[in-house]
Amino acid sequence: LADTTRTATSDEVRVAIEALTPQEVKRLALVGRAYARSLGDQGDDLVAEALHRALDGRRKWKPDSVGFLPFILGVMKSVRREYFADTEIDGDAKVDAVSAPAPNAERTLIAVQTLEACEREFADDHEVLLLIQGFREDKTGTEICAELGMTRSEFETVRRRMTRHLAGWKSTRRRTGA
Amino acid sequence: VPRKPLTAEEILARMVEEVADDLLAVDDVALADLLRDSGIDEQRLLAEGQQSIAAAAERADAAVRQRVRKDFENASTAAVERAFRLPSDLVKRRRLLTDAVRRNPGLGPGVTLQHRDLSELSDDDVTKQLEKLVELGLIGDEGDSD
Repeated sequence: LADTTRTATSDEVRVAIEALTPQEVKRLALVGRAYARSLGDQGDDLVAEALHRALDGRRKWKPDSVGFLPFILGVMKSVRREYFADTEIDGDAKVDAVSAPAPNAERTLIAVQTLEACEREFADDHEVLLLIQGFREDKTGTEICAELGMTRSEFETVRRRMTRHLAGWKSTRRRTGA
Repeated sequence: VPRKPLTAEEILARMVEEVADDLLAVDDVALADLLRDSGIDEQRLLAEGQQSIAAAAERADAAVRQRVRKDFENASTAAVERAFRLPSDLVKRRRLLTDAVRRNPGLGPGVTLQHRDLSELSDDDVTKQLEKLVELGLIGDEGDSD
């Protein structure tokens, strides 16, 4: 039986990075772009930072419990949160609304501007705006589906449109000239 | 109970997390379609990802090099401190240097004793030369000379 608590060594992390296929590298870069843009293009290279933390053991990968790509995406998620809060979050700690550090004021403003710009870009796609409204109300995918009378598959189609747009999202700061 | 509305930052976080989940879930064919539909240059995207990987490896390697250097410095300092502590008395220091030079006429690089007449050296110079000899392991067996 696999030991799901076993932590990968730095060498194992290196091997996993080297084994990433070109398509996986593209997925990683794409998520990195979306994350960076959601920070108003103010952040560091989140992909590099997440991989670095995995390599130096600050974030521990349990290879028998989770795939490398989902693990790195999870690290990027917490790095992004940290960037916003201006503090390093313990990699293994669970962050919720209560324990999350207070946000940085300047970045809060950037987030407001970025979200506004983003919603303007979806002005012609009512369903994506409804999806964002569901997120605003902290609703789960299931709740959004129930409220909007969508099937899961329809929800995913709308989400895919949002992904497609955000994947090709040009910098809002450059667009608005800010 | 109505939930507290999320902040702009939290909404953006949720959006990109949904994007990440979606990108993780799509198969390679759907990913290729998505990239094409979004007008993304695949080669450029791939190069971008590879650059991030190279940057991560470089950061990790630099950190390892720095750690090794620091460990070495700490070990050297600890070894020197363990091996020998210079006498506080300046006359004893001068005598110690004189003895060391007498014992080691062919002192190696790192120790510059142009003035064979050690009496010409200042107290500071005597201390510096002794410290170099300690580093080189040429003094140390005597223990604390105080």
